[in-house]
Amino acid sequence: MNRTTKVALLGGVGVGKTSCLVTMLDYLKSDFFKNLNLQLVMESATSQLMMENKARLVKSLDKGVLENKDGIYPTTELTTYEVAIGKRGQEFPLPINVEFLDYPGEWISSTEEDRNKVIGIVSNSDVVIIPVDAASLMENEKDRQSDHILEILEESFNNLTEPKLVLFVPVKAEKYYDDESSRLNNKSYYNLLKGVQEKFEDVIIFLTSQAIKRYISIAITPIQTLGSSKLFYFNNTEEEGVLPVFVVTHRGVFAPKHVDQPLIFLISFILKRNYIDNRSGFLGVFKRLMDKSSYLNEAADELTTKLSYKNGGIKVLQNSVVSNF
Amino acid sequence: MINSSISNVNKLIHKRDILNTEIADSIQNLSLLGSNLSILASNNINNNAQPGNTVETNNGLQYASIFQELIVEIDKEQRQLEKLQSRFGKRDITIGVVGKARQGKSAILQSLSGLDNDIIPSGNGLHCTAVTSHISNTEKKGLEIFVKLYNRDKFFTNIILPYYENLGISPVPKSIVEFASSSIPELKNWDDANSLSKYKRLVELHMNFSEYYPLLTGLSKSIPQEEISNFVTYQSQDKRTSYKSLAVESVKINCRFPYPGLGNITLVDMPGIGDVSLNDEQIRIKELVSKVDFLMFIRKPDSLGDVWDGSDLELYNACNEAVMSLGLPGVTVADNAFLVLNRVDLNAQNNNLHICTDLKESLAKNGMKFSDVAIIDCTDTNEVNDKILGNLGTSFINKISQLDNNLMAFSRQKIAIISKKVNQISKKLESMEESDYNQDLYLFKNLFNGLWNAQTNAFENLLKHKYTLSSDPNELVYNHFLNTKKYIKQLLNDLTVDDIRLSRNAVGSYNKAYEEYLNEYKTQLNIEFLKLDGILLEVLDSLKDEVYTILKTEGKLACLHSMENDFSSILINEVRSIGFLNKTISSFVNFQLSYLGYLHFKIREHMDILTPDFTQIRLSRTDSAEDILSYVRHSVEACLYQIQKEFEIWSTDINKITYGVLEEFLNQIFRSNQAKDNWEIFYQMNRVKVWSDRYGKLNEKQNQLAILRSYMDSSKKLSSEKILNTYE
Repeated sequence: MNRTTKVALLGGVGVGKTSCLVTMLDYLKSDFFKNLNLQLVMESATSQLMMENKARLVKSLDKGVLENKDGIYPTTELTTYEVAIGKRGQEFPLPINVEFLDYPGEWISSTEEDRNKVIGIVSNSDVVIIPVDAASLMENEKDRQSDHILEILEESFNNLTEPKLVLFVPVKAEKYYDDESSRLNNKSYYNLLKGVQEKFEDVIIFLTSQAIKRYISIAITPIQTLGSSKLFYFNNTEEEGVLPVFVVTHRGVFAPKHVDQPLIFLISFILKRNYIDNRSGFLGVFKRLMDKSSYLNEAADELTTKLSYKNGGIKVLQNSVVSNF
Repeated sequence: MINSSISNVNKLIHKRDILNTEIADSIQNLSLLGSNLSILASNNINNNAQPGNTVETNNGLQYASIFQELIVEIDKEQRQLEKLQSRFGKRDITIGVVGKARQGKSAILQSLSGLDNDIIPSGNGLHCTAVTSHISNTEKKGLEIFVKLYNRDKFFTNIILPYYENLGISPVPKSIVEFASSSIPELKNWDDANSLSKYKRLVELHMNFSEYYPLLTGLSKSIPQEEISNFVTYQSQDKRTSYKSLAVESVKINCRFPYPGLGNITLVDMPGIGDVSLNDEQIRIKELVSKVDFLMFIRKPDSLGDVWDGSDLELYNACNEAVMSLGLPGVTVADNAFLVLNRVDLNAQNNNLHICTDLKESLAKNGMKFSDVAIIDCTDTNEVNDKILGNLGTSFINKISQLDNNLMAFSRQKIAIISKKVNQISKKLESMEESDYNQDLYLFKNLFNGLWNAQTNAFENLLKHKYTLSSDPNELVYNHFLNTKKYIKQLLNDLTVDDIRLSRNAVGSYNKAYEEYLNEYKTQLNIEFLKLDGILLEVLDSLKDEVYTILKTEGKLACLHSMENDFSSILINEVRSIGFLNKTISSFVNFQLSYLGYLHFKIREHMDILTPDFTQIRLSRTDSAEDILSYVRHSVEACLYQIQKEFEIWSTDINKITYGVLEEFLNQIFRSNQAKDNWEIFYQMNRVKVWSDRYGKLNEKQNQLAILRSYMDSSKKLSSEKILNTYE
């Protein structure tokens, strides 16, 4: 039996980890595999949770404005979302198991115990998705969301032996898609990409450092989790501090965009990892002879051709030994 | 003879005209001199009132008292000149005819004027003439008579009241009406003939009140010849007593004197001088004397034997006293009075010639002196005219002319003395001024360098301070935004769902209600931001004030302060003559920032959030009043959020601007090549004001010098040879 690939989310409170994950899972389930020689099944509890959260997201688009209190409730415990991937038509259980790990955002900044939990999760993960609150990042000069992430990664990626994929996924980034300065540079998300690299400079320096760079693939790949909302302003409230308020541009319409892009990185990385794993070790020789896992490699390669470097606002910062983005 | 008389009068009047021009100039010059000296004296005293001036004090006080003496002297001389001015200002030569009753006064007046008994009554009654008459010679033919009537008050005060006072009777009436309506109090002392005669006269006035009272109008009127007797005598031709004359203050008669080509001569006949029944003899004599150039005494010696008696002497002395009281220096009645002894030669028994001669010779013994004495038959027109207007005329005109000259010479001498004193003082003050000037150059250089260092240092510190602030937001500007935000948020908090509902009901839909509210808040914000002009003004004013404060303290320009104008306009005015400073300071003083010019266009863009056509929130039919309320709040908050970002930048810009403005100003005004030179010139020009403690004395001296120069000029004019010698 193959080992389970683990995908960890890394980010603080209110950044949008769950929304990001739910949007991605929804897309994985519905559209992502349509034209591929692959299929996906979602574990039933995961499906249930995903659907509930999606419904909340859709409901948040009912009114003309969208406040922080609307949408998905804060995550209160470690939550695992499970999916399995295999060749189209293949018998269940499918061979590639993927676990997505979500947890309360305050863990990364509160007690030692909570931080250690996060470090445990991240160090055991093959993929780390770092959702980036683009609104705060772009509007608020004093944005500190990158603060604890470096510490967590430094401790988690100590003595790496396995390749990892790190995805920076800016969310709440609808406003910058139409940003005038981006258009001037003829690249959408130009300022956003610049902003992420600036604000996460320390993190990126660490991830691209000599000791670990060969193990780590890094990409920035923004998504629009709702698609129909846009940052309006930051409301400086006495009780809860500075909170963003969004306007709903198309009321009741849940229309995420560019969600395929981080999924391409994610799935193709997972496929490659599994392909390489299958061909190594004692049974690998037979598998190679039987060429049972070559479809993984083919699908991974096919996926990477779908990366839209030009218009999707993605940027690959580093390839590891296993990736070729 | 005739010609000389004519030319004498006219020449005299002409000469007086010229003298009067000189007098007017002199009065003006003296007045200028007097006020100059007053200023000088008070400056001098003020100057010495300052502490630390002990050495100078004695000198100063000494000068002050000299000034004061001079001022008094000048003042006195001015009064004197004014008297001369009125004397020389008359357009005729006036001869006052003085004599007791029945001495032939009327006869001589008739002879001189050619008027008859109807006009100038003579002789028979107790009181021949009752009113003052001015009889003037004119070139015109015919007779003009003007009567000036008393008004009621003057009549009461001048005629009635003196009787009460003289007689010591009471109660004294308070008005002419009371006088008429009450009876005359009884006289206490019946023994005194004088009093008795006055009392009788008073009773007469009282009894005949109704006759003259209607005439007390104060008017002057021309009357026909036939009526004159009613106005000038008590008795008309039909011997009926007329009291009309009581209402007459004076009579003026213009006629052509028989003596040809006389010129402007006026004879003044004052009634009852020497008449005990009239009260105010002395006052009337004074009045007469002040108006006339010359007095003509008439005395008719009794052919049965006569001597100078007490009443003659009394009249003479009274006249002398009056002449002296005119204050014309050295002038007595002897200098301007004729005596005419009226000769009577009716027959051998009634001939007073030798008595006339006796009286003439005994004048000196009796203490009387006249400039001329003539024995004339006053009824003989030819003799009167020949002797008085011919021989005597020439003599008395000469006498008057001589007197005029003496008076002028006396005044000139006084003025010359004053000029001399003034010149002496000015020379002394000038020498004091000279000695200080060279020291001044070193003093100024030291003072200016000290000031320059202190001032540039203070400005450098101010500039440093402004630099440290230039990376921070300007508090005034930013706080204005915060206050606006607070105010708008308060409005938002006060907004309720009910308000939204009411508004929807009023305008028809939530959509419209939403738009209305957005507009309302937009307007409120605009109103608040327009107030920024005032804030900007305040920001720049406070910068300017800081600069002015340094200029006033370290730059010692506080002395330019005045109540009427603010410092900046005074400053600009003061540096007006120094083009370089004027330009730079003006542009600094006038520098302004405006909200509309500098900020509005940036804010305006964000106002689109509150503009219905641009609003980003999509309304839906499903929206409730609560939703609309939330949209309004969020829209306004979003707008404030964006504007706040502008303010963060802009309020910092404002501090950068003020720093820049100050730096530029200081660069130009203190650091450029010509700056120090220009300031040095400015301070040199204003050194007395700026360092008043050091230059105060010098300032006073400069003032003194300037004043001295001005009155030295007038002194020279006053004492110029040309004027002095004109008539010597």
